[in-house]
Amino acid sequence: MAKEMKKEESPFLQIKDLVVEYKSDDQIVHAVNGVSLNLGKGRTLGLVGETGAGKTTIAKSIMRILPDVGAKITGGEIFLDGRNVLELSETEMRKIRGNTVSMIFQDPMTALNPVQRVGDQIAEVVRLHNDEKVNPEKRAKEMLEIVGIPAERYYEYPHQFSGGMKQRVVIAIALACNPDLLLADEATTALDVTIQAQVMDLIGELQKKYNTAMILITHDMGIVAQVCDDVAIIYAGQILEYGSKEQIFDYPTHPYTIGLFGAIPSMSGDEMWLHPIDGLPPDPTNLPEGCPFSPRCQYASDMCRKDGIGFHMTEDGHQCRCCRIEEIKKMKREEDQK
Amino acid sequence: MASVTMTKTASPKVKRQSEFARVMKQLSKNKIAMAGLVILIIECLLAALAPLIMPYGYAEMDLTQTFATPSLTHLFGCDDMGRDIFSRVLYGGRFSISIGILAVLISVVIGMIIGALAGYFGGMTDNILMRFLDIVQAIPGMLLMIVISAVLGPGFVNTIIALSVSNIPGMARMLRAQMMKERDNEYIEAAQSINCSKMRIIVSHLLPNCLSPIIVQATMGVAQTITMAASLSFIGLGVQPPAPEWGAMLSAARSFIRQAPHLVIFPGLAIAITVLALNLLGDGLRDALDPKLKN
Repeated sequence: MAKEMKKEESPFLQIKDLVVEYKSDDQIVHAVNGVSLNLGKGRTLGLVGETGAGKTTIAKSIMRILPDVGAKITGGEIFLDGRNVLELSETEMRKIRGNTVSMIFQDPMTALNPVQRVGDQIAEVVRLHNDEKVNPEKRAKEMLEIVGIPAERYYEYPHQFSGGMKQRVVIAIALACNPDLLLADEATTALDVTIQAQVMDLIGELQKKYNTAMILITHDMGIVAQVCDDVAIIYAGQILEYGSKEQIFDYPTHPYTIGLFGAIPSMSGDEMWLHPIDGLPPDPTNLPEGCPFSPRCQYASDMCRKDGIGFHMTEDGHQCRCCRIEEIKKMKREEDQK
Repeated sequence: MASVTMTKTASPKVKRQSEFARVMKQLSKNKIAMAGLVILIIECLLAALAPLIMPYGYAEMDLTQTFATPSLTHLFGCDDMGRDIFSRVLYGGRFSISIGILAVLISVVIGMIIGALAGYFGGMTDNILMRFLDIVQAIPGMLLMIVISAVLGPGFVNTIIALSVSNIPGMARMLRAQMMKERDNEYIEAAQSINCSKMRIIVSHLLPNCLSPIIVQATMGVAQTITMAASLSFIGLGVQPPAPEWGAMLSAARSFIRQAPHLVIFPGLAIAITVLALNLLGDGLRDALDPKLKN
């Protein structure tokens, strides 16, 4: 799968060495530190990582909706369909936001304006982006039907909807203009598993229909396994491991990824304790030198605490930012043999 | 789409209920607030229809009737110049109530603009606007009103201006706080992500969500402004005689308070009832608009 991606000359979305910082008072929060990604049309990339790892910041950078005060993209390039988004004027950016790229927000309870009719909220995005040809109200009703809500409910308010239905409305807003890139920021975290499955099915169907590329931000490995083509493991604003879903799930290489999978309780075994990764994510205002994961890594050596750890290509397209891959593999093998 | 068709069975007969209808329904359950609303409506009607109801004009003097006590011909009696107090109270309502409402309306509009800008943009804009309001607020309210009326001169319009200026900082501050609270909500981010302009976000997304406390504050504010207007008239600024503003009537009658107390009682009662009704309504609105009590 990764081979196919490489053949494409320039992928639909290409992020190169993105660096984002938040400034507050005299502290600098290093939210994203040199992230590079590629995403082709119709494909799904899962961004997996702990809270505060910088997943949402990456998504917001693509749309350029980081908060005005404090946040700053200090380096890198984001190419969308060959154009560098970071260099576009605000006017050109407007054509992209909500039209070419749209975002599904995390919490359906707060992502809708409580005093506006749901239908009007869907119609708003259509009105902002289409010329006279499309009737916004008609399109909004159509979108409601597509996400499985009767069009008659156009005139109702968000408080009359259940959580799952609100999330569908949010999805309808995101999809109303047939975007080429969909950013799903923990789109299903606030929902229960049944609704979650429905929503993911729905997104999947629409994605197939319109050949939409999607970045799925989540910390749910189950969803990643279900819908993603590629996976990037994010930690402290860096990609630690990047590869196809099969590569990551079958051959996790980075100690952090291995730890993440180790933390998932097994359903078959009779386990008394969960296996968390010891320690906490590093303070983003004061990142450790070298590998950000080194303070928590059981395999860490002096080499890990030096700067400039690059990606190791292990297989086709499977990258891992760790300087002790070989040693770890050996140690793991020995452990397994015991 | 098979997996999602199940929701289509949801009842299509769900009532279409607007926010306004919901608030009115909630309000109608509150008997005391409804009483306040009814009293206000009656007062407004009486004031508006005063020329049709009353046989006497507000400046019509009958010197044979000076200090007449309440009777069937003069329900509230007559004042020192033989003018019918009932007519004057009704006509006075026109001035007092309209001063109250207009002054609050002006301060709400200006306060809303300042508060919205300060609250949404924050940073420098916020600092400059708020320090300016600090200056205004540092002057005692009554003193500020007296200064403005003294500079502009007394009169209906000038009184309204004087009263609204001192109300602006409070309104602006309240909206600013509300804006700052709502600004961080995800739906604002969502609005940005579908490419709403800043103007659109402020006007159609933020303001409607910030209105409830402003509505309550404005209702209470009308009551306060009516008493303020009365105080201004009382010290001789504000609406000038022979216009029968309630405060001016009180002021004129204070020298006869021992001989003819009804000169003071009726305009005073009118102020008290109006203020009470407005406060009751404001309280009811506060409950009806409180999102925690929704459904």
